[in-house]
Amino acid sequence: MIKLADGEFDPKKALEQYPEGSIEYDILSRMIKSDHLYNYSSQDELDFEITMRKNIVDSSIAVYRGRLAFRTFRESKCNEDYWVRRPDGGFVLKRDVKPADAINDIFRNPRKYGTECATVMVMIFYKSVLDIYGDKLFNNAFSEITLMNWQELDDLMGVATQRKVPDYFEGDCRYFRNPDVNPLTPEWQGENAIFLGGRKYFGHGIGIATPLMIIESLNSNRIEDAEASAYLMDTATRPDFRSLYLYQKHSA
Amino acid sequence: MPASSLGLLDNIRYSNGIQGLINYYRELLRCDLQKALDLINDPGLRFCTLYVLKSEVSGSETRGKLEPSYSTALELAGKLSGEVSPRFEKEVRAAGGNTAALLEWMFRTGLEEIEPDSEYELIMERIACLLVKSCNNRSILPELAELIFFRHRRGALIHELAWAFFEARCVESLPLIAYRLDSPDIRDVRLAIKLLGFIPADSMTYDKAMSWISGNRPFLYYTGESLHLDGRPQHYRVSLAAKYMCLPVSPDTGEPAVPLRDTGQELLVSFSKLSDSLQQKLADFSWYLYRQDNYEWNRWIRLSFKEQAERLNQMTGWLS
Repeated sequence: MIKLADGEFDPKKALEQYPEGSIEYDILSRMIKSDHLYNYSSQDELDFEITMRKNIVDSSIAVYRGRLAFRTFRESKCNEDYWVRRPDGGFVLKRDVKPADAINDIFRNPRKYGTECATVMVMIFYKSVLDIYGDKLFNNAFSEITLMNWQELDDLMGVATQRKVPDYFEGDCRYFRNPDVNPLTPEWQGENAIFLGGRKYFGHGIGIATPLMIIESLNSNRIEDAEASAYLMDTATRPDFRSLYLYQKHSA
Repeated sequence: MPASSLGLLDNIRYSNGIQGLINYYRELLRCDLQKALDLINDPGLRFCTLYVLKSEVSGSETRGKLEPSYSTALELAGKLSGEVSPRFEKEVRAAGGNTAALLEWMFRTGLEEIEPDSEYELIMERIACLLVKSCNNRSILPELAELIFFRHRRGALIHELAWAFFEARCVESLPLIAYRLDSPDIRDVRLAIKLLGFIPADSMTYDKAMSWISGNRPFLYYTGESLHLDGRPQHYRVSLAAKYMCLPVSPDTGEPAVPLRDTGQELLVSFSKLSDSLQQKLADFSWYLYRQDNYEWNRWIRLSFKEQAERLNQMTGWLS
């Protein structure tokens, strides 16, 4: 169910904006059919979230096609024209570099980058905001960026992990946990993966795959005689769509 | 296993630095081989010093004359320093006591990380992961906590060490993190707050954290969350149903340590359908009453949820 604070929500009219079978249509129709009440200040805010979720899916596919390398933090690499690599393997935006240019560079020159899965999720989130904000607003909003999995994220991005959410939607980052991972390869302790729709997920290092394929990949990196299989946790990591929308609205 | 007193070579490393130690030892090998062997085989030698001199002691003049456990330690370090076969984990498990004891010695005496050296950091990290996950060694958790905060202060990677620490599923180890809330170094405080993100507190202090841990200790269970999943992972969660029933849980599963009878199971199912806030209040009050007045608790727990909430409200104003 969807409720708009500034007026009546018309499900039919809202759905008519998008072609049937599109990601946007799928997200909206599941929100409408859900038992959970989704509150938005306006149709604009709802449209913002749906567009950004679509951007997250598109950016995930772009990372996959660009063949950005999987590397552990210890071996991470970045284009040092735009980023400074820290001793812990994270990347910090260089001074005198425009944030939008630095984020776009990851997608234009993916071969110059290599990192582990959570940092790629954050890159995808930033790119998705950039595609909705445009360069100028993005540069104003994110003058300092650190890419180091879920650490030191910008407050405006508001990325948070929600537990026991009523519904999952395209653009959610889900987590597959591998409890019996081989302790010599802890980078396989779990996989962050963007839900792309249908039964498809994008997990950096694994690719576009079904949940079963991701679980099999993780299971192949367990200890010998492992008893517990990898599994999909009931979490969803999401940017704060509302804050991002309000920032854009008040900057207009 | 070697004794714990400090070796002369360790003292030289402290005084003259790593390069000073290497220069000294090379000279000693050249002019007094026996003394060089005596010093490197000192039972008090620390692993970090042995590791610094690994190239020097691998020469033909010392081969076969190194104390066997030191020789094995360097072999293990070599295996753990680069691409490592996944089967090595099983070999460690299968090898049992001697290998586990040697790894523990390497970890305990290797803590002073010699340089921001990726290879050595990786070795220590893998030893910690093996000790906790494969050898079930919880005795190293104080040193592991020390290493996590030490590395964090110098901006190094801590994710896998923190993961190993919590994978020990040891609720008793949480004060090792909590006491850093009182650290004069703000970096320690920030990290402690992050690692204890599962404790609900507006402004976290050591006293608040310890009070919460002790008040929920029997009902805490490990969730498997880590810094790979979230910036503030909820490493532990309180089983509210178990707290409500005053039944300790397994820290591994969150299930009551003692199996419930059918009536208990039914009660737990009904309890889980209550709102989160009501579950929290009933659980907190139940555990409080249980400790204060067991007779009264036995009467209270038999009431309906509605009556329990009313009673709770009358007695304490907890629902106001």
